[in-house]
Amino acid sequence: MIRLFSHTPDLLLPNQHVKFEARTDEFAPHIPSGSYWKVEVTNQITFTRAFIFPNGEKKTIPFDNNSNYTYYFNLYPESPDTLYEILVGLKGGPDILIYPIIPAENYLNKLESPHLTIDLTDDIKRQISPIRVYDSPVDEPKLRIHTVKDMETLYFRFYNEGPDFEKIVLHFIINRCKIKQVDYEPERYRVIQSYDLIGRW
Amino acid sequence: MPSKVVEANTTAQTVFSVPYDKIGKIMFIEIDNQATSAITITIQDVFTPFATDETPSPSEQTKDRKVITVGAGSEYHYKTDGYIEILGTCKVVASATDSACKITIGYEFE
Repeated sequence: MIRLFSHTPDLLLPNQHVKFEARTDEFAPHIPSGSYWKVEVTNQITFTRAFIFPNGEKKTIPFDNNSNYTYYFNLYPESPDTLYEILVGLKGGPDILIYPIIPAENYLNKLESPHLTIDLTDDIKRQISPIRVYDSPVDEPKLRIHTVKDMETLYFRFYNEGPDFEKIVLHFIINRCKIKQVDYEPERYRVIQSYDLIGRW
Repeated sequence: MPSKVVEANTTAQTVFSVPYDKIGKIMFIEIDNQATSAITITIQDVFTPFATDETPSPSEQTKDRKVITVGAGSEYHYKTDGYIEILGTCKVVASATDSACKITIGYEFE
């Protein structure tokens, strides 16, 4: 799940609950849709990536894990009992556009009009839903992502629409949550929706 | 605010390198040219961009960020307030090598 807030969202705390929802029966192979999970332990990790991009060029970086860490964010859990709740803060390049993509080559945030689909080569069409530095500044991150083991791969596509090289810095706050499935419906819980629910209806 | 003094040299002199997770901002430039002739100073930004779809094997780039000519026996003071950004390594190269011409760069990282 990826969401852009109007404020910095709170991180999950121990003893809070989450509910995973998906269009299909499974949120992930080990997480049934509609299941409730309790957060038992949390651990916050910070991680920073920086990129310098030439003007008019693009690059797509996957969030999943790979030994080639230069080209992969490696921000998916390896344990089935772990949920990553990730805040993304941005600084630098004001002309760098970021598009969430999931699965490969499918822009997550789209308009319904068949006449306006994202096209990076078109001045107007590339303005559909990019995330910019001011949308989630590093000192007040508003972009939140959830990942679990074996979830389909999320990507960030970067495009520099400025006139020159620009550097963008992504500061991740990863709330690493140890979670355990429960067989009761908690009084309060946070809903985590799959990408097929939030981007493909 | 950190600053560094380098002498005019036709070989590029390193002023500072920007940390991986930061962006460099030049805050001021001062040039004291006590040499017997005018010298042109170029402030360079040297970096290697990330690989992209269009340029999968990028090469090191050298971008001129500011060029200043200072007459013999003159001084130059320039407060930039950070609008000159440095992405990689800040270097200074001069049109002549002369220890009587000193360049001071003040900078910050953001």
